[in-house]
Amino acid sequence: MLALGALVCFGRVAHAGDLEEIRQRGRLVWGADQEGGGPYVYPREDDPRQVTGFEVELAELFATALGVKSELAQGNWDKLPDLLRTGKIDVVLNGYEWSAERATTMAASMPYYVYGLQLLVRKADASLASWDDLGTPGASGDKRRVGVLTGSAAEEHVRRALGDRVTLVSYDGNTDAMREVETEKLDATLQDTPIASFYAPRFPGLRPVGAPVGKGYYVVYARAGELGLVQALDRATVELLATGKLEALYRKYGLWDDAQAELFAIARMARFYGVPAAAALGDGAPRAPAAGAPSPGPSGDAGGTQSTGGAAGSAPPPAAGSEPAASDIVRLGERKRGWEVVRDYAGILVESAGLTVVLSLLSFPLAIALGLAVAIGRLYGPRLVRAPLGAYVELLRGTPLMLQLYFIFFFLPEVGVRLPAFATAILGLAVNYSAYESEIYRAGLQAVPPGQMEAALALGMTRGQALRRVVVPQAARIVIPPVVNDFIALFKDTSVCSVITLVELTKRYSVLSMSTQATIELMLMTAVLYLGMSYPLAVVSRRLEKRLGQRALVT
Amino acid sequence: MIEVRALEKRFVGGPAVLRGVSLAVAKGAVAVVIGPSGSGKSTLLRCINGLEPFDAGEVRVGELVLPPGVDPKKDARLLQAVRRRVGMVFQALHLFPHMSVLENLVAGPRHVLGEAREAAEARALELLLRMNLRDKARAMPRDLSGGQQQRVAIARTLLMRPDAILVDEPTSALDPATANEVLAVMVELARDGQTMIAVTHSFRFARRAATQVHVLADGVEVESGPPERVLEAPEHEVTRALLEAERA
Repeated sequence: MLALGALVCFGRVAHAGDLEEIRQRGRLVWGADQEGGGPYVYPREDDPRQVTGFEVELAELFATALGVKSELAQGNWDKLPDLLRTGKIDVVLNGYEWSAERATTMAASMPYYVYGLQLLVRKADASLASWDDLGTPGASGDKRRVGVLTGSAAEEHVRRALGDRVTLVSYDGNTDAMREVETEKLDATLQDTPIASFYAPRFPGLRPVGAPVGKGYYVVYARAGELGLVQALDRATVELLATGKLEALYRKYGLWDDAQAELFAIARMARFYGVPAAAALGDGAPRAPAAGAPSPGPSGDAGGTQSTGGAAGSAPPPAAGSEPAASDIVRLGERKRGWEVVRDYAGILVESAGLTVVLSLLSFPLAIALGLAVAIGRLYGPRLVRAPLGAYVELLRGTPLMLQLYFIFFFLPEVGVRLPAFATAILGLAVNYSAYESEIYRAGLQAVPPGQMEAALALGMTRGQALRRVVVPQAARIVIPPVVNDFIALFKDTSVCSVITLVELTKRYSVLSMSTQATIELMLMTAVLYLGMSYPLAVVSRRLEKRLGQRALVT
Repeated sequence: MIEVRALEKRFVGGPAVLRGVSLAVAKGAVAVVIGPSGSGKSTLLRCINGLEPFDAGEVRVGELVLPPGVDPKKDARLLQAVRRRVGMVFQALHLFPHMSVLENLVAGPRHVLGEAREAAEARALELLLRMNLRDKARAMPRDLSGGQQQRVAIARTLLMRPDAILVDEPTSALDPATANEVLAVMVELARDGQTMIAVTHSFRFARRAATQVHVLADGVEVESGPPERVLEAPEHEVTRALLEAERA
């Protein structure tokens, strides 16, 4: 309990705020999830400790425009709005689509990218030539299986366009569904155009079908009401368009297509709001010509009526003079394999394992202390504290660790208690495991014959002394195996901490696997690391048991 | 020294275990409480030591008074004071299995009396020597014979320097030869003037060391007096039956 208090008291008050505060601080803290992968934000292939991606560069451009530096804050993609709301980041900048719903809870900037949804199928599968074919059963007579990212615009689009004529399969990782199509577990997948084109080299067995559909807009989200910040970002976007920097950036990542013309149309409106750069855009057609490329279908368009020939993977011809040198173009290299993966990624995986170890080693002793206090309170404490302690145990055992971490990280800030992610993880793990520990100790304490307590009392010891000198040491011997068991469990449960922005071993695996597709190699390395850390524990435990066992138990 | 007045004790939902027992033990006296199984002997000792609250009567230890219904938490200080004056040797011994013999002995002196480890160990080793257990100081309790364990339990209580000790059935679990070893130790203690109340259902210790004998049956004292009188000329049938049983 003391430790809990200490953590709350000393927790750094996370601070983020409006434009003024960002300028004073000198940093724009932007939230994104590396696990989302390329081309947005992903580990560099030559140095996985660095992140790259068009949004990394875009954030730098934005920051420069604000006169500050940019700082990436890692968070799980679907939790980014929570990080924003609780003041842990200044903006969300990570392929977040504009939606009416989000715009009511957050302040949206003008779009920085116009995306479409690209249908991808197997090259070898001749039966799928259009969206219409998707609605007809395959050779086996079953409905076609279409993979989408959970909660994405693509999921919504397929549901509206095809309803129950196909089987929808949801994935958490962007490229998971693409791999599944290649391995024939799915018939097709619908992906945001940036992903479809960026990862095309990694999935040579796939081909696009039809033109992109379901147009949408990536926007930057700030906290609701932060209009000063949003306006500054909008000015920066207009400026980047006017100077051609945005186009150059998108061309570098192979993302520029004629759908981006709409950005100019939107930007031109800005001159009505006194943005000087907007005037430079003129009244005419966008600078980017759209020769030969199909225009994206209207939003929500469902059928297979699109003209064929255009593909997300092939960018339209660039404007004269704005084509980047070939060496500047960011393209994914060959998928690394075997020992190459070990050589390039073992280092960073081991580093992330370090965080796993630190989290375990700091939280478990706390869990032991808390658990022991709870167990002793329940067994020997006054009647008044027994019921609350019982409730404490049941509440913490009966709810998921993840929910408890959310509660500390995302809810407590609303009532003024702000803890950094690391302290939240330690506290959450310690409190959660203290419930399990206390039950083990309760059983252990009860397994010590009551005569031991009486003998200690008869010697004149206080109850506290009797517990400390006589009862607890004996219970400790009884509980070693289950406690070690719990430690190994906690050790692996640290992976849940990725939900509160920590990149420990499992999250690192997900990030790397998503951006490199070297899933098998990374999975094996991760497993070996976990096993390599937990097995010695099991050995130490067995030794300890043996040694203490010789000094133990029952006269 | 110890005075028990009209003690009554009934376990919740059970029959009365003690029904008005009184006895007084002066400094240096050796009282032996004797009686058949279930007569309330052990409960009497536990009440004197405050391990068991009683319903009526009182226990006096020097100027300390244990009233009926003592609460282990509220009356912790009083109970601790009583227990420092009156040590207890349990029938089941309750040696601390995770500690060596020496650690068992010095736990009380160190943590209750606040003695330095060296001083406490010196006293403990001296006592072990007297009890013929010097070579067992580093042994664990479970590696000792029953008689050795019994002597360690007595030594553990004596090292607290109590004014009086309560001994519950010291020989009941021992074979005759081992019982003799333990009896020898107890008799020596009695001769050295150790105030003591011993519960037993055998008369051997009573004959050799008791200054007074109390016969308990069904929660009532049926007979008491000096050992010569009670053992040689018993007045109550329970006493006679016990003596008969011993001879058989």
